This record gives sequence, C-alpha cells and structure tokens, in this order.
Amino acid sequence: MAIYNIKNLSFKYKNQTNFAVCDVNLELDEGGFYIICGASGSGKSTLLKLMKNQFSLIGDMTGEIYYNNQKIDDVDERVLVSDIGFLHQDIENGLVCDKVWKELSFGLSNLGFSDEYIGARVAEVSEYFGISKWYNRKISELSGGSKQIVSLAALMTMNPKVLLLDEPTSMLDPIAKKNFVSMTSRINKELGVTIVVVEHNMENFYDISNKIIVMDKGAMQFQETPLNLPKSLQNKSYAKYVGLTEFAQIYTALCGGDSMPVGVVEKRNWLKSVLKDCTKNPSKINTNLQNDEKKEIVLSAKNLYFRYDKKGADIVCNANFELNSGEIVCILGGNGGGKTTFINLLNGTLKAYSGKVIKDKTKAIATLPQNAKCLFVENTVKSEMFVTAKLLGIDKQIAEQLIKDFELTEIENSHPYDISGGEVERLALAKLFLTNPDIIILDEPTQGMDIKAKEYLKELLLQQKALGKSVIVVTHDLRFAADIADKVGLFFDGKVMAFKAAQEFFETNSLYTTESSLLTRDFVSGLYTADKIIDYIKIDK
Amino acid sequence: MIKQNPITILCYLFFVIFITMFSTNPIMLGISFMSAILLYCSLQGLKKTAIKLGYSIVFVVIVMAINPLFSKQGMNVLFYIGELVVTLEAISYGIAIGVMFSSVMIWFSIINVLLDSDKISYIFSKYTPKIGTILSVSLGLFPKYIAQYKKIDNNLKGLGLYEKVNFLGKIRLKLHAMSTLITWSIEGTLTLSDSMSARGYDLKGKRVFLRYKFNLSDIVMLLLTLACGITLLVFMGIGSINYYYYPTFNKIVWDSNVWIYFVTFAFMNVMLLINEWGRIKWQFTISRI
Repeated sequence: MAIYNIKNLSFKYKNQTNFAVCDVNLELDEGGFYIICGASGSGKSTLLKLMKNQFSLIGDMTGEIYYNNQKIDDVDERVLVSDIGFLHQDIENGLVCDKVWKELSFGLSNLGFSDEYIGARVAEVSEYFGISKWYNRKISELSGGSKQIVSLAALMTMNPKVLLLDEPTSMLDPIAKKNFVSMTSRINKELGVTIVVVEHNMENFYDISNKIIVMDKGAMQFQETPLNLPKSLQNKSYAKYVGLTEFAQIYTALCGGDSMPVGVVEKRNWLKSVLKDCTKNPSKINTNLQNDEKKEIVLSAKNLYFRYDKKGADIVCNANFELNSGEIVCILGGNGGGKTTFINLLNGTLKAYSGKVIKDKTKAIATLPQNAKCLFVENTVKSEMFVTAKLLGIDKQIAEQLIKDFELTEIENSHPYDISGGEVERLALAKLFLTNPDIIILDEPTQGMDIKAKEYLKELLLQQKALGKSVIVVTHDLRFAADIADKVGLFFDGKVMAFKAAQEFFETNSLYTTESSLLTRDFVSGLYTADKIIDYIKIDK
Repeated sequence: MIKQNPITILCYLFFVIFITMFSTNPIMLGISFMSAILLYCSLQGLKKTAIKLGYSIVFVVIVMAINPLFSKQGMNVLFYIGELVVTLEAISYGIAIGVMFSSVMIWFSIINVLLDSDKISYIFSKYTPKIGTILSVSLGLFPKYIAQYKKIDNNLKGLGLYEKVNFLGKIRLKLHAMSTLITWSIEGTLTLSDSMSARGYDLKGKRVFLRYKFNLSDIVMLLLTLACGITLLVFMGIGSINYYYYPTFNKIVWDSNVWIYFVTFAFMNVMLLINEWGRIKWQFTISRI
C-alpha cells in the first residue's frame, strides 16, 4: 500500500524564478527504503520538507501530497508530529534540549503522554539503540556521531511510520556513518518503518535501499532499484553527479548492463574478468605519479605534545610530520581524535607544550576551518570579500579577481547563508586566497558537498600543487583523499600513524581504504580509486 | 544522589536558610554551621569540606577584625588602637555575623549540589511545562554558543588574520567574531524552531516528562519541615529567643520556650542528614573497602 502519493507537485520559493521542485509524481510504498539523490540545488531537500508539511517554506506550492490516502493539509497535526519523523542536516540545531533524557522525551511530552508511558518508551528506545549509558549526559558533551544517533532515537520514541532523513551522514566520519546506516537499516527491516533519505552521496545507503529516486534541476528523472540504476543512468548528462558507490560508478562507466553484481565476491570476479584483457602496467598510467625533482621541506613537526587541561590527557602525543612543497597530504581519522587540534598546532593557533613546529619563514600559511560558514558575517558574497580585503589592507582588485576565479560572480549579491555547501566552500577558499598562502590547510572541506563541488575542489587543489604550493587536507572522506593525495596518514593516539604514499596506504589498509582497492588488490596493484580503474581500462582499449 | 523530591529539598533548604539568616543567637548559629558542614561533608567528601571550612574560618576572622572599626559599642573594653576602642562585644558580634554568612554560604553550596539543572527545571516544569521547556532549551544553547564562538575565533586565527593586523585590528576581529556568532545563531534558531515544531512543540495539552515522584517519605519530610519551620517562625515572632550583643551580652533564660526552640531547630537542621544516613553509612563502608 502506498503511504505517500505525490501528484504533480511543484514548488517555487518566493522571489525565485526557477521552480525548486517541478512537477514531481511519486508513489512511496509502506515499509520501503528510498533514497532521493541529485546534485545540490536539485530540489531534494525541499521535496522532503514538503512531505512533512510543518516547516515554514515561503513560496507557492501546486499539486497534491497524499499521506495514507489523505491530503496532507487535512492530516491532524498530532498525527504529523508522531507519524512522520524528520531529521535535520544541521545536527547541532536539530537537537533541542540540554540533556539526552530530555531530548528523548521531548516529542512524547509535547503529545501529552503520561510519565509512566514516556518513561517506558524512552527506556525501550534507549536500550534498542544502545545509548542507555548516555541517558543522563549533556548533549554538548557527545560526539557528532553520537548526537545523530540521539536525534534518531528521539524520533523513534514517538513510534513514527515514516522517517525523513535530510543528509543525515554528511557530518559524520566513516565509522559513525556506518553505524548510523546500519541503525536505519534495522529500523526499516525490524520495525517496518518507511525511510526516505536525501543524500548527495549514497555510499553506504546504496546497498540497503529498495528504490533510488534521481532528481535533477527540481524534476524527478526516474526511480530505479540499485541493481538497475547503472543501466538507467547510461548516456544521461547528470550521471556523473549522482553520488554512486565506487563499484556502481565503475559499472555505470564501463558497462551498464542489466543487473549489477551484488556481494564482494561477485563484484571482484566481474572486475577480474574485465581487467584480465588489459596488458599494460597500471603504475605507468598513474596520474599521481611522484615527480623526481628535488622537493624542499616547508613545514615539519618534531615530537609535538599538546593537551588542553593541565591534568587532562595528551590530545597530541609525540607527533611527527613533514610537508614538502608541491605536495598534497591527507590526514584521516575518526571525529574527536584530535586532527583539528593537530593542524591548529601546525598553523600556530595553538602552542605545543613540548616539541617544535618548524616552518619555512618565507611561506605564508592559511587554514580553512571546518564549517566554513562560520567565517561569514556580511550580507552579500561580494561585501564578504571586500570587507576582509579591507581588514587585511589588500587591494580591492585582487578581491574582484578572486570572485571571478572562484566562479562566484553569479552569486555575488546573495547572502552567504543562502548559498549551497559547495559555494560556501568556494567563497571561503576565495577568502583564504586573499592572504596568498603557500601552505593551505583544509579541515573537512568536503562536508556537505555534492559530487560537482568535490570535482571543482579537486581540480583547484591539483592546480595549486602544480604551482608548487603545499596542501594539507584533514578529512574523513576516503574517496576524496584517494583521489588527490600524494601521501596519507592516519591520525590515531595523538600522532600521525602509517604516514606513507597514498597507493601504499590504501593498498595495505583493509578497513580504512577504498572499495576499489579492496576489490582489485588481489590481482592488480595501483588501481585504488574508481577513476583510476575506469581510466586504466579505457586507455588500454 | 539524593532520593528526595526536588520540591521537598527546595522547601526544606529554604526554611533552614531563611531562619539561619535571621539568627544571631550563638547556639543557633553553632547548630546551623555544624549541621551544614556535616551535610556538606556527607555529600562532597572530606577534601572539599576541608577547603570550605578553611575559607569559612578566613572569612570569620576577616569579619571579626573589621567589625570593631564600625562598631564602638560594648561595655567590656579589651584594648585601644590609637583612638579606636575594641570591645569584646564588637568582636563577638563580628564572629557571629561571620559564622552566619559562612553557614548560609555552605547551605547555598548544598543547594547547588542537591538541585542540579535537571531538578530546578523539574520544579518549574511541574507547574508550567512551557517555562520548563524553555529553560531546558536555553541551557542547551549556552554550551553551543560558547563552543561556536571559540570555533569562529580559532578560524580567524587559522586564516592568519590576527598576525597581519595591529591592536585595533585585533579588537575589530573580535567584534567580527561576535557578529558572526550572532548571524550563525539566528540561522540556527530557524532550524531549532523547525525541529521543535516538527516534534510537536506547538501542540495543545503538552506537558514535561517528570522523572521524580512524590512518595510517602517526601510527604513526611515536607510536613516535618513545615511544622518545624512554622514553630520556629512563631517563636521568633514572639521574640523569646532574641539575643543582643550590645550594650552587652544578654543572658539566655533557659525556660521551656527556649528549649523547645533549640531542639526544634537542631532537629530541623539534621533532618536531611538523618534521612540520608543509610546512604552515608554505605558510602563510608565502600570507601573503607
């Protein structure tokens, strides 16, 4: 039975010329697991918000949404609250209360249930999610991944029939992501809750979903099962920007046959059969090949120690690090592991209590923080650039040039809080380049970025590398790291462990690695990213 | 930590503090101070109590030394410092005031320990769910804002802006960070209010999940508190336990009124301690193991 029935739905925000959602027809079955994907600005979040019908979206809507065969405008508000759970992309502000137990009971107490009922529900849900030990803790003390699990648990106390998740994993590290995904999968399978996820990057959700709905420019293109998606994407202009898994991307690019192999063994066998005709040595076509010219060390750290509290534990402990000119280094590692602290030591924001950071005096260093949005304060993109330039005593023309270089001209009069994740990062980078740095440090730059924006950033960083500048990227986006890095290190136990060349890093790791590497390492080396596999096969042919 | 209902605790501590504040009688102050210290010790352990005691003694000594400067009354002159007369009465009164303030302060620290934010918002929530929720939401906002401000400030540092400007520029950057925080918080509030209404904040008939129950021991303790408190207030009104330091100490007449008063007061002060006896005993047995 269809739980949602959407007919000819269109939505246009006030003062906008284009439709955010354009003539969408969609039927969602009860108990299904759906992914809505597409580039940013494709209208997927707007569609999701319209399905909850409780948000203040300013604009005009036409068409109908039926929930359980009832027009959504006629559904009782109490039913909307309890039946349809909505998880916000912004983890921090989606959480309402100060303590975990209050957060869990928030929805139920608004619905006016008795203390006994609330107590029992909250206990049950905490046990189900394995979060009983946090029950009395402050939310501000939890990590990002834990916060997201609490948000999900808080929705589940109300016994929802549908969960609408708006980019729920974009702020999480790979391990927290997997936890969250398996949790949603359990809810779907064991409790029969219908789940609709909006994601740029399907990754972990891909294999557990029933249907994938592809959107482009506000219009729904088609819906398809994950196995047949590669076929449907053939020859589509937006195919490149649908956030497929690595294998699905390879399969789409190379073959796009009827049903894609499932399971690791099948996937590996398929790749083996495709690769067996290739004769060339893959390392010959490796794009990230080390060039032999002499490199100089621009930044190094020796035996760094750092802690925040006198009596606290060392966050950074005996860390060593080296950065050459014209090199991109990626530092991976879980959230809360001290990666950000480490780069703050490198850029001089924090001072180590023991050990030394040695920097080439002639080189300027600049850091792009996590959540770049919090750098912005002006009302338009343009004035954002000009005011910072003025603060630094830099010529206005340089700022104007940077606006052009970073393709910000189109949005130069928009408010910095109204632009998309990729545009936020571009503006922040433009601001960063006002100081003309030689060493660029980026903290989680790909968070909330769609594939297109990631491609742009990749190009930009490779350009900078070619100019002889050095880049450090702290990220938990393994695919991004594999695509750009010369060297990769894993930040663990207060130091950069396993600091080695990217290829070696991804081919020796068995958990912190890419799907491509896992699938091909047994019979060929040097193919640790999807792009490398695709290029390799295409060149060989 | 403590099994009593927050309302009982608040009511009890209110009476104890109120009556201590209006006592000048040295025996009463002694009782109040001793019981406060004992209760504090049972809650926070010896080390913290020793620190509290140390501060109290310093405070008492300071007040004792200062009082003669302002009060030249009293009949038993001890000595002269230049023109200044120092009397036994003035010094004793100083000690009494010092002890009174110290005990009130210790009682307030006990409130702090016993009534954390959860219990205070419970007291509000029980009568007005709206205020309870707002309290909880704002308590959640503070750590968010502080963390965010630090992030913004660090970001500006990380951009290398601080190194390139003079002192005035630094102040401007701090202001920049503040206004960024405000923009961010306004943006965040939109999501927050969306999230609240999505989970039914606007519905009618809402309440707040109350984790504490009112049981028999709460009722008994509340009644005892009220009985003791009212008795004490009546006796204070009559004035049968008034005590004067000036012109010289008045003698306490040990009649039945005074006895009833002291016993009631002593009982009231140690009531929570007795109530907690089981837990205290347990705590000390564990610590010996």
